[in-house]
Formats: sequence, C-alpha cells, structure tokens
Amino acid sequence: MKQISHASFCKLALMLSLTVLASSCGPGEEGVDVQIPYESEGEVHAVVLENQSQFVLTEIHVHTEASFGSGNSLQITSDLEPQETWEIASFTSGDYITFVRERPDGRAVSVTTSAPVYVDQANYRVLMFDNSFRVLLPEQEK
Amino acid sequence: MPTPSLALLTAFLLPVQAGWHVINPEPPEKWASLDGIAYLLGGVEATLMTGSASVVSRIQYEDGSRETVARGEATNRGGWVGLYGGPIATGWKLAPTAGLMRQTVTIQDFNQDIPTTIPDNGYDIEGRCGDPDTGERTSCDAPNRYDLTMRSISGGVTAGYDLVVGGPNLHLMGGFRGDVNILEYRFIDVELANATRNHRQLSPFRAFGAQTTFGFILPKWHLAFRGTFSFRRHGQVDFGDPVEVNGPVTYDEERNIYYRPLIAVDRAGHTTLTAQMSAAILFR
Repeated sequence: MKQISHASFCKLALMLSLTVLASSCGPGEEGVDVQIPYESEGEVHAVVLENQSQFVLTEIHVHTEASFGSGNSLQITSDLEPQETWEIASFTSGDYITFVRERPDGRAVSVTTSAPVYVDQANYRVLMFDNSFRVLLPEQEK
Repeated sequence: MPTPSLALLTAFLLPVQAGWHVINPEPPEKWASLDGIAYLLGGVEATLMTGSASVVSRIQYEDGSRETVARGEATNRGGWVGLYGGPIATGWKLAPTAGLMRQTVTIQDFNQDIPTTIPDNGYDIEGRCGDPDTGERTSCDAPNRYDLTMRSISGGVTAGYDLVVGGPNLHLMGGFRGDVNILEYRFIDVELANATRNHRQLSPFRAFGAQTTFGFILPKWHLAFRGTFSFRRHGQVDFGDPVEVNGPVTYDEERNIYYRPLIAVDRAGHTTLTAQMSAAILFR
C-alpha cells in the first residue's frame, strides 16, 4: 500500500476542512477569512466611519481602554444621520470606537467595539450597524 | 360486600334518599315579566381569574398581508363583574351576558438573537451596549416589555349545556359554554417598549371564548359558587398611535447582515387560559 507523505496528508486535511467550512456556511456567510492586522497596533491612519444603523448617532468616541468613558475623545460635533460618513484623520490602530444612538424607547445607548479596531493602512471603512461594527479593507466596495 | 363498594353505593344512595334529582328548568309563566327577566339574566356574579396569556403582535403591509412581529407568553390576572353565566338547570341554554372586565397581561421579553455573518473584505466586531452616562452594560434594544391593562364593558351571548342535580338545600352543577361579545367598549392602556398608549375602542365581535365550569348552588340562599377553566381570545387590541419596536430578525442581502428593522406596531391580540373562581347572587 502506498504511503501518504506528511505534507500530502496535511494538504488533504486542509482541503477537507475548507470543503466542510464552505458547505456549512448559510445565507450571508460565504465570506472569506480576512487577516486582522494585529501587528499594526499603534500605527496612525485615516479611517472613514459610516453610519449604517437605523438611528441618528449623537456621539462618536475613540478611546484606548475597552470600557467607554476612560479617556475617550469625542469625534463628531453634530449628529450623524443614517448613511452619512465621518472621517477620522488620525486613528490609532488598536483603539476602541464607541457611538451613542437612541433606542426605540427614546433612551440613549452607547455601543462600543468589544475588541480593538486594527487598521494597517489609510482609508479603512468602519461601518456602524445598530449593535455591531464591520471593518472593511480600503478600496473595496461591498 | 367489600368496604369500597359499600361506600360507593352509600354515596349514590344517600343523595337519592335525601331527595336529590336532576334539576330541570322552570321557565317563567310570562316571559315579559319581572320573573321572566330574572330567569333570563340569572343573577349577578363576581369573578377573579388568573392564568396565562399568549400575546401576538402583527403588522399589516400595504398589500394586506400580515406578519407576526412579536410573540410571547404572559401572566394574566383580572376580574369580572356581570350577569351570572353559570348553570341553573339541566339542559341547553342560550342567555345574554353583560359585565365589566379588567385584566392585565405582562410580558417582559420579546427579544430575539441576531445571527452573525462573515464579510467578504473585512471583519466584524460585536458591539457592547451600555448606558452612556454611567457606563453600565444595558440591552442594545429597548426591552420589548408588553404591559397591557384592559378594562371593558361588554354585552354578548352565551350558549352551552348544563347539568344540575341536587335536593332542596344543595345543587351540584357543571357545564360547558361558548360565548361571544357582540359589542365591547375597551379602555386600553398599553406599554410596549417603554412607550405608553391609552386608547378607547368600540369592538364588535372581537372577543370569544369557551369554558367548562363546576360548582354548587345554595337555592334557599340564592347563592352560587363555581370554579371555571376558560379559554378566551381577545382580538385586535388597538393601540391608537403605533408604537415603534424592533421587528423580527431580517437578512439584508446587499449588506450581508442580519438586523432587526424598526417597525410600527399598532395592535396586538391575546389568547388567555385562566382558572376562575366566582360567587353569584341568583335572582330566582
């Protein structure tokens, strides 16, 4: 019986894993895995924030600590309507982003990234949904 | 004879010896008389009810189609003061109903989980929601709490079959009924997603139910006591002005994201299953 080399076995396992992964994706899950640029921490780049939520954003903050309120800096001076964008000229990779919006009951709620935002070049787009964020690579439309 | 059989026989014979029999209807000599009215109306009754309610909120689109936007189980408490609706004599009965009802329905959670997606050219980061003033963690969505207090004045009809047996001092009764509110005037106070609406509504043929009941009557005292299991549907409880809430989870193909669109809900309906205890003063 022909012996399968270690490298061939790894390739086979990888192909099988990708097949299983692809077949397990449901509607809207057919994305590709993008490497998060952790190594860019501390780099300063311009990012574009886009309000993709259903709400008017009354505040946007950038802060270094995970908890909102610890040394945060306010980024907008007027409300950001849905679909409007806001550019941050100097965003430090590894910082957190928080926006404040209204809930349907009229109360304000802050939504903070549960992990730092890493960007390794200029013009990343950060989409702000109702309760989550999406960081998109530059020069690509989605 | 074995003891259990003897006890059973005694249980049957004692009532017979005491003069127990099936209580048949005693219609009035003249229907258009005080006695006739008393026969039709039966008596006046106070009821306390407790149980569960299933609440469904729907919206109607322009094309007429309806979609359920919220659904939940709730506790239901209330009371009723009205005409006596219980058995008096054996047989089929059709009778008018009228009364005042008050009930509360409370649901504390209509929340839904939102699935995540994988974007093509980036990565998603989950959001953590909090109170911007205090920093405390809070729910991202408004708590979809549904608090309904409905008082109503109603008139309708009830029909069903009753069985009543007994002697001069005590009647045992049981029966099953269906009823419908022909006309109902509702005073609706609803709190949904912390928005409050107070609404008045004239509702013809919007509530119906079915009950099974057991109890006893003290004929010499003109008193009746009974327990009832009731199923009841209250349709189209209007809020007046729509209330904006988070709708059902929806997939946006263009943006590749699941979210809960804001929708305006203008009515709800609820179905209740309750246990009731009633005490009545009978007119005849």
